[in-house]
Amino acid sequence: MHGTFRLPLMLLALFLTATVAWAAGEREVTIAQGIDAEFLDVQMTNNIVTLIINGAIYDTLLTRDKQLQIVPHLATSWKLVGDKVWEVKLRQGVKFHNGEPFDANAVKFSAERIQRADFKSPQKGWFGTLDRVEIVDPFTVRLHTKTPDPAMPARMTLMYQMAPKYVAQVGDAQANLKPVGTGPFKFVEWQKNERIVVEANDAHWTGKPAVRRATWRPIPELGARIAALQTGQADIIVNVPPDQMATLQSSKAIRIEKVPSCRIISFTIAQIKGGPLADKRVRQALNHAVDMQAIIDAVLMGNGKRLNSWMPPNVWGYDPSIPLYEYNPKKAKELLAAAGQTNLTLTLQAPNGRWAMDKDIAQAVAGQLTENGIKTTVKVIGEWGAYVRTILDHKTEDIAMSGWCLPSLEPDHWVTPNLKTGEPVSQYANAEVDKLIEQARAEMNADKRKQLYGQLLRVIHDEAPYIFGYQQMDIYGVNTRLKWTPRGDESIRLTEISF
Amino acid sequence: MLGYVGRRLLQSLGVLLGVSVIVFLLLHLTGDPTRLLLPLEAREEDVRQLRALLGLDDPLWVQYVRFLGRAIRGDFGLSFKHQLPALTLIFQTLPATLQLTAAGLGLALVVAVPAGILAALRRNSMVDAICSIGVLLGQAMPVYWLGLLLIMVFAVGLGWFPAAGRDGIRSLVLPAMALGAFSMARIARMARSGMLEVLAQDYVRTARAAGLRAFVVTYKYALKNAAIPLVTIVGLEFGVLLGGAVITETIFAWPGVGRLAVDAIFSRDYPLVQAIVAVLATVFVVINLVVDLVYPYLDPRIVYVRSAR
Repeated sequence: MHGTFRLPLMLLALFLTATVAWAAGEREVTIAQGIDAEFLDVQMTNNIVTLIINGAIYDTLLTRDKQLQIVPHLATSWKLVGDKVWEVKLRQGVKFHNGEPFDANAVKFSAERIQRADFKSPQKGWFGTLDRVEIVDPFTVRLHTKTPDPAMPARMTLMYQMAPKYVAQVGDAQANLKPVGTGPFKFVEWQKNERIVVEANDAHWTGKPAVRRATWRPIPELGARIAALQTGQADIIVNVPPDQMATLQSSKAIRIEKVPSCRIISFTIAQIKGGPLADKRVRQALNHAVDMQAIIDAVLMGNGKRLNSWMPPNVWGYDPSIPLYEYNPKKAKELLAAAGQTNLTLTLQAPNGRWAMDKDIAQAVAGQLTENGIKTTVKVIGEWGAYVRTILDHKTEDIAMSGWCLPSLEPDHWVTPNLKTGEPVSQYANAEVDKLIEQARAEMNADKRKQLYGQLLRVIHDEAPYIFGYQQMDIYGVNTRLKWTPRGDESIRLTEISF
Repeated sequence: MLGYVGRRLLQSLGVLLGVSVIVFLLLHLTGDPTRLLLPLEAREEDVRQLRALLGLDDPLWVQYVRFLGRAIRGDFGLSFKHQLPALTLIFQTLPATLQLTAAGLGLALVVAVPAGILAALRRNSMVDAICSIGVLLGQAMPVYWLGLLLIMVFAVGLGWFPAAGRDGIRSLVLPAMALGAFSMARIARMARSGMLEVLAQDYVRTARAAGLRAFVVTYKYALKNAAIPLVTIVGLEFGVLLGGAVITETIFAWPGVGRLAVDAIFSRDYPLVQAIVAVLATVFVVINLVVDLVYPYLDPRIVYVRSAR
């Protein structure tokens, strides 16, 4: 009798275990990106993918909502109390994953940790204007800046909060391997280059997350990433190339999600090299000689929005009233003739695989320039390190394909690094632009500041230090069992996913 | 024998030292890592500060001597990018690579040796022709292409194996097949030609003439001797596969030392690249040494003696 029941009982147990495991799996999510996190000590990175993963574990003082507007997070309010002093009220009752309370002390600790001379944080530059953090009471701090800094709220969206006692107790190295934050997910496991697993923090101040467990998988090869989505191994994959969208959508289990990105792609004209490119008319002619919309339509299958200047529409300060350069080869020829440059030969450098279809787009641009009388050859520099070096050494070819997006979404971070005279990335020098940049980044009145950016972007449009390109479209492949739409800041927030 | 081993070990040290100099110089020729570690928009003072922290301001020879001094004690320094000891990172990822390499080589041997023998025994037959085509394909197909093909057929199409990652034994099959294909072809070719050569020897003819069964002649007399060059090939092949794993690991998102290496090279992570090369070179040197030491047991004609002088 005993033996008779053993087999059915075992089968039943097996069935129940399987059912439970299946049910748990239903509320689990696997996200495949191209690379692994560099650090899980969030203050050690400026890499966007790494920040996205860390965003599940750590909270920031302020954050961006789905429309990318700055909203309260661990800070409940913020206001200017002096030209160089921001007063910030903190949320009460918040605890780190180890039970340590979050308070003003944590804010001060986190801010000072980045500036420590022996702490190799690449975030130092983000908070370069911060002078000191003053604790007013356990839930109020004052951020003193060295100069008036209207970008402080944007910077506060990147002020990730570390647990002071925990870090002091385990040290920097261990804090990276076993991260503790106040975020909506708790760290479970990190197998380098294999997976990072987090589980829901039901005690989070925003409530219980719908996703119970999430795994981030680095799958560098695009083909394998797509296959992982097709086989159900991954639920969300990033950087789907436009030409793969149709294939993926043919499966009932997969849908495509797209969003206009904060990333903009243009072609930097090396004005500082002098010669013909120092002449504004030549740079304008280059803009008139490229049918950017046709390239977006043909190469990116329409997945891009043309730019009127050097800022995407989803960054505060963008001015929609600035016109687009008209595709007008005749006008281009006239401008070149007026500048005495009827026989121009140029080289355009492009990376390979850095941005969606980058090399192909560069070739299309060069093709159109050549067609319109400006002989242009493409030089592909496939290795990113070598590519970056040409930019930082100010030794780019005549034209260099450029892409930009910084997680702060702060307008100054688009214009200063790229256009201010003498900046590491800038291939441009113009006293008028410098003056406007400096005015705009110190202007504490929001309306006036916005006006200044409008003025600046208009000058940039006219000066044409770029062949203005397009705002990239971020394309994701998503398993249909997920309710989720992407954000324009390239971030994937687990709390925005449900089933 | 001991003298021979001692001499070989000394030679190996020379090889490793040479490798370390070459890698050190080549790496420093590729440019300044600080610019890649910091945001593009970083200020010059931040760059200077980081350069000093990483010890990159010293003359090159000072940096090399410092590197060597530490390396001898087994300290390859902190990875620039990961801020973890380089050796820790390698030992975290090396098991995955060794597993993949062993599986690739094992698969290659299991398929290639019998195929090679069969082709030799049935020379100029249909079996031989099929094997030759297999060898040609195996050597001509780029790993990259083969890997994606395997994913499309066996992961997406048939759903038998996972497309990427390292989750248990099933996830090992496709990368091992992709990695092993090239070696499979080479080993099969070697097995076939080795076997043909041995089968033409006098002692095989004598054995046959003596009326020994074909099975005994093939496996006891012929194969044992044909195996000697195979051991060399297998030893070398293991090293080749360790290197070849770089591409396979990238395609299949296999968390091995190859991917770590690619990543380290692209981010100019000097300490990590140096450590990976040192560890892989050591593995290679050790395998070669072991292969050489195994010879006398396989072929009694080979004896290691003290040099005549």
